[in-house]
Amino acid sequence: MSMSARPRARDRNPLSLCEIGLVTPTSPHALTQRWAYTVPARRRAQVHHVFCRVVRVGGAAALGLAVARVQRTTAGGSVAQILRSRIYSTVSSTVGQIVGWGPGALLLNPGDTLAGATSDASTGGTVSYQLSYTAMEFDL
Amino acid sequence: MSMSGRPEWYDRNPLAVGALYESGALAPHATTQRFIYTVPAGRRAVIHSALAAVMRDTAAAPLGSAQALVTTDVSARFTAPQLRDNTVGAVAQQVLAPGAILPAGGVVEGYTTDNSTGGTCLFWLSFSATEFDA
Repeated sequence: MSMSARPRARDRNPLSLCEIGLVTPTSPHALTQRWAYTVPARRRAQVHHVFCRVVRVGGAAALGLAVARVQRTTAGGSVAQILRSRIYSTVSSTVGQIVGWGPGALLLNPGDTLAGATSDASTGGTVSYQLSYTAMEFDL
Repeated sequence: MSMSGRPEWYDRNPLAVGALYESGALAPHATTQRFIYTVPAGRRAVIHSALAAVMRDTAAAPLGSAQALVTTDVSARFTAPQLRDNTVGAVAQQVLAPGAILPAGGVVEGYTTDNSTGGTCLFWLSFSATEFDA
């Protein structure tokens, strides 16, 4: 137990959070948010892992960059990009960089947002994406 | 567990800090600072994530080395992917969860450089951290 007056994070009404974030083969598109989690008032959250993957499914007529990314935006508007996966190939089944990790118990404060988004600047073709995370929310 | 009787770091006035730099197509250039964060007096910071990436956008002639760097205290590198590939779309990327604790005055900086001749690259630099009372 902690010798401090307060219980540790995991003992303060913890709530497990999980986003699978599978995006089925999708045509080229402008930057599109796929999910977003915003920490409620009087709560905080520790992000345990984040994962991004991009896979070319259908070949493109004109190649562009396809991206999956996860960003943290603070309540004050400061943005940090936590993970990014991209693909620049028109060959079907090509897998872009798969990036997954545990970002050192990334802390989110009330009003902070973790969001996953995708984009594809190609013409034609399809790409599938995965953007996922797990986290634990707890009392402030 | 805290044996000191002090609150955990996340209960000591935590403040989320970070930076994000996304370039457009950049021609070759000397080492250039893109952001700097300095831990204020009376505070510390735990560094959660560092991301650096560089992608060849148009071919160089001749090819050199393009690099994106996220560093701490000038020379200690969190991430420093180096691209030596002239194929359009080639990428070098590193992501890291440093977990490093920086004292007051500690810095996190982002830099880009490309010593090729001609051609262009795209760069991404970012970090996330939480600042808290020392």
